[in-house]
Order: sequence, then C-alpha cells, then structure tokens
Amino acid sequence: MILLAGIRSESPLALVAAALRRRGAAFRFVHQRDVADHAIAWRIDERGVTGILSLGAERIALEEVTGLYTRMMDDRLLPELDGLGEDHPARRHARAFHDSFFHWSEIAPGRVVNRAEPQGSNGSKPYQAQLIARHGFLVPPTLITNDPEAVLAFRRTHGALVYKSISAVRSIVKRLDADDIARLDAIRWCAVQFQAAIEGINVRVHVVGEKVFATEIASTHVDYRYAHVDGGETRLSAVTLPRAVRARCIALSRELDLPFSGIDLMRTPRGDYYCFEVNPQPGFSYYQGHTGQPIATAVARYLAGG
Amino acid sequence: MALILCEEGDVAAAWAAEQLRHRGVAVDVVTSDALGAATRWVHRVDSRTADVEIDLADGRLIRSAAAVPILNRLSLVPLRALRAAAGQDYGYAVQEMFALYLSWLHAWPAPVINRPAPQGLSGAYRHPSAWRAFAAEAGLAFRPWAQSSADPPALSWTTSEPAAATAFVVAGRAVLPPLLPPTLAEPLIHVAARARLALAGFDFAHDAKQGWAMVGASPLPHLPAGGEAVIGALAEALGA
Repeated sequence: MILLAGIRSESPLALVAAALRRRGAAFRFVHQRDVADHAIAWRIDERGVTGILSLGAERIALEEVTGLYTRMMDDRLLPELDGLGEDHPARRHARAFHDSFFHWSEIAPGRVVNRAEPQGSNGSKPYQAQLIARHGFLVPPTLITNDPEAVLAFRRTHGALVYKSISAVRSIVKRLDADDIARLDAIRWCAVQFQAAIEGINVRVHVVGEKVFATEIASTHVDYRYAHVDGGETRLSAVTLPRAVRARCIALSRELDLPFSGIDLMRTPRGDYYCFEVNPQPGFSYYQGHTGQPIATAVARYLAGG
Repeated sequence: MALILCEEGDVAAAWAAEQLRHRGVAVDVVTSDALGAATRWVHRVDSRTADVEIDLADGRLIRSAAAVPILNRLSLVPLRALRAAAGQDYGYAVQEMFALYLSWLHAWPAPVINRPAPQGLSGAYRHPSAWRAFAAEAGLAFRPWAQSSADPPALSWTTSEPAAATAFVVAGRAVLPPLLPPTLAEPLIHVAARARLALAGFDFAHDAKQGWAMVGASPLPHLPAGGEAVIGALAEALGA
C-alpha cells in the first residue's frame, strides 16, 4: 500500500496519483482536509514499527505501507479549522494527528519521498552549498555579512552581485543595484547573503532515485520563477545533461538522502555547471507540464519499489 | 586553546571549562548572547573553501583562520538582540540567523563537538522514536515508544521514565559508568554514528525483565554525569 499525504487536488500529488492508477498500484490519499475522520496509533518496539492508520471507516496496518509521498501543508492553516481557537477539539485533533503521522513517517521502514530530516539542508543555503561543492559542482562565491565595507570589497573582486535570503524563507534572488548600494547600511542589524552574479542558462534537474530529468530555462529575469509577476517571459525545454553532470546529480541527491530532488544548476557559456541549491520538495508539475517529462511516473515507480 | 560556545547559565559548559582548565587547556567561553551582540560578521563560501570572521562587542575576535577546537553547546540562535531590532521581521530574522550559524559552524576548520545540523545547533535534536529506531538497528535494548492521534502533541517529546545511568559516546569512543555492561559500547557507538554526533549522552533504565534499556538520548548531555572520563575523552577529541 502506498500513501499520498497532503491536499488531494495539489498538482504534484494529483499527478503521482494518476501515475499510480496507470500502474494499477494500490494507494490511498491521506487528505488533510478530511483530518477530522483520520486517526493513527503506532509503536516501535523490538518487533519493529507497527500500528493502524484509520481513514474514515478504512483501517490500514502501517506494516503494510511500503511507500509514502508526503506534501503536507501546515495543518494550522487548513480551511476546515478557520476561526477555531487553539483549544478547540477539532484543532487539537488535527495537530495530534499530524504530529503522530509525521513522527511515524520519519521512522517508517518503507520508501518515503522525502523524509523531513534530510530536507533540512535546504534551510541554510551556504550550508547546503558546502555539501554541494563536495560533489564537484561549482558554487557561486558567496559572502554573508553585516559589514557594508565587506560587500563593497566583494563587489570589487567579483563584479555584479545578487542577494537573497540565507535561509529558505523569502527566497527571491535580486540583483544588487545602485539603489541597494545607497542603503547598504541597513544590513548592519542582520547579516545578508550576497553572491557573485553567474551568467548562463538555468537548468532544473529532477532526480528520482537513479532517473534524471533536466529542463533548460530561458527567462527574461534573474529569478525565472517570478518573471511572470513582472510581465517577463520564461520558456522551458527538456535537455540531456553530460554524463558526468548527470552522475554528479544522482550522487548529490543520494548523499543528501533525498530519493526525489530538484537541483538548480546554471550552465555557463564556458560549459561549467554551477549548482545553486537542491530543493527537497520539488513542485515538479510546472516542469512536467511544460516539457512532457514523465517525472510523476518516475516518482510512482520509485514509490512502488521499482 | 579551546572555545566553548554555550547558552547563559549552562552549568555543564561551565563545569567542562573548569575541568579543561584543570588539565592545563586554555579555554575561552563565548555565550550565545555574546555572539548575538557581535558587531561584525563576515562568512565566505566558495567552491573550495569557507571561512568566518566574527568581532564580538567586548573586543574578542573569532577567526576560522585560528582554527581552535570548539565544544559547541549552543541550542538556540541568540534572540535578545534580534527581538529588539527585527520588529515584524523577527521570525524571518531568526530563520536567517539559524541558517548563518549552521553554515559557519559547519565550515569551522578544526574539531567542533558537536557540529550543527539543520535540526539543532549542537547536532540534530531527535524525537524519542527516532533514537529508538537507531537503537533497534544497532541491537540495543530500548523501552518501547507508542504514540497516537489521541495523545496531546505537547507530550510527544517527553519520556516519563527516569534514568538510572547515563552513558556517553565521545568521538567514536564509549564512556560507560561502572553500572552498565561493557557490551553496550559497540551498539552505542553505532547509534552515535547514525545520529552523526561526536558527543552524545544515552540514558538507561533497568528492570529485572529487560535488564538495561535505553530510555532517552541527547546531543547536549549533562557532562558532569560523565565525570573525569568524559572530560578526558573530550580533551583528547578536541586535541586541546
């Protein structure tokens, strides 16, 4: 039995469900909006991890769960709980279910895409960059500082700069322009991350186990994800990576303990590959929709043990 | 020379500093609040190297170029200065500072016990069930853990059973109190390695039926419980 946890209509979850249906694989949604009808009880002892997941009237033995694809939203934001106080029984049940389900998923013996612990590396971009660099990818020269003078010196060395958050929060890339330089003193209260601007073509690589899907992105904006907001344009096309880069992507994803990852690369005019980050919860539907790459099929195959 | 990073009032850190000084090791203690009040941060990362320079408000300088070993007992990013400065951006600022601390401590070129992890600045802080999964893998006896959606989530991190003995693993070496059988050493070393911890404490309870069984574990153990033996192992691991 395979579980798909999250909001049933969310694109990645729906695409994987469709792929599992095509395979004839047995699966169930753990649909968060139905949490009032869900319950879970489990234990770990010398016999292993055992328990029961109740989805409405159906009882599923957790020992029979061989795969889990989890894209759960913050249960506190579920529309069904709108307006309910912290101590409302429905809210307390939702919290308890999600907490218990989450801790089970971290030690469940089956295939889990992806467990929470390894997803943590994405919470610090410079930390993850150090892990990435070990795999032979170039990473952009990076400076994190609250010292305006250090930024100006870094700019003299590297030329054009971008800045972005250090963590995964508010992760939008912006070019450092003259207006930013004029207000550089504002960084004194909290360090900011600056990077040398790397010119080239963005390539998003989805790794599913040993399968690799690469998408080249041509965009009018530095951060292609937000081009449409400013009236810009982004075009996506499937590409084949050089064998060595492809192997590096698989090895990186494996070392980060991520069966499914979205790796952001940039190919420079010289043919070097920089790696900006590894997304542990890739919203792949955007890329699959534009290129026709069978990413959901690969995730379904992985979950089914293939 | 060694650096101890800790929270204000960390009794175990103060004890470790004193014990290391007794052994002739020069120790500088830097608290979380002192780091939070640092006047200058410079942390660089590129494809080959990473370094850090921190200027503390009291004039002390922390430089990765000096490469002193660190006993790291930080549990939170310093919040006092952030709370005062960040206003509505406080939550964002906390995330940003955690990301910075994770990176610079990971990059530090000398021994750091423990290195930080995304789940904790002194190494991953794990749920009791996760420690039990590692123990099961290692063949280490442990008390069962049960959880359900009928339980209050706030209780899901607590264990009710008191410890009768605490064992330590320091840099791949088990330090066991005389009460505990030496056969526990190997599985404990395995669990610490799986948890990617250079330093870990393991609490054990005893009953006639099961014998000694693990009831809890921590990347931030109460060091005085390990006495001289733990300090000796730490001093060696720090190379101080």
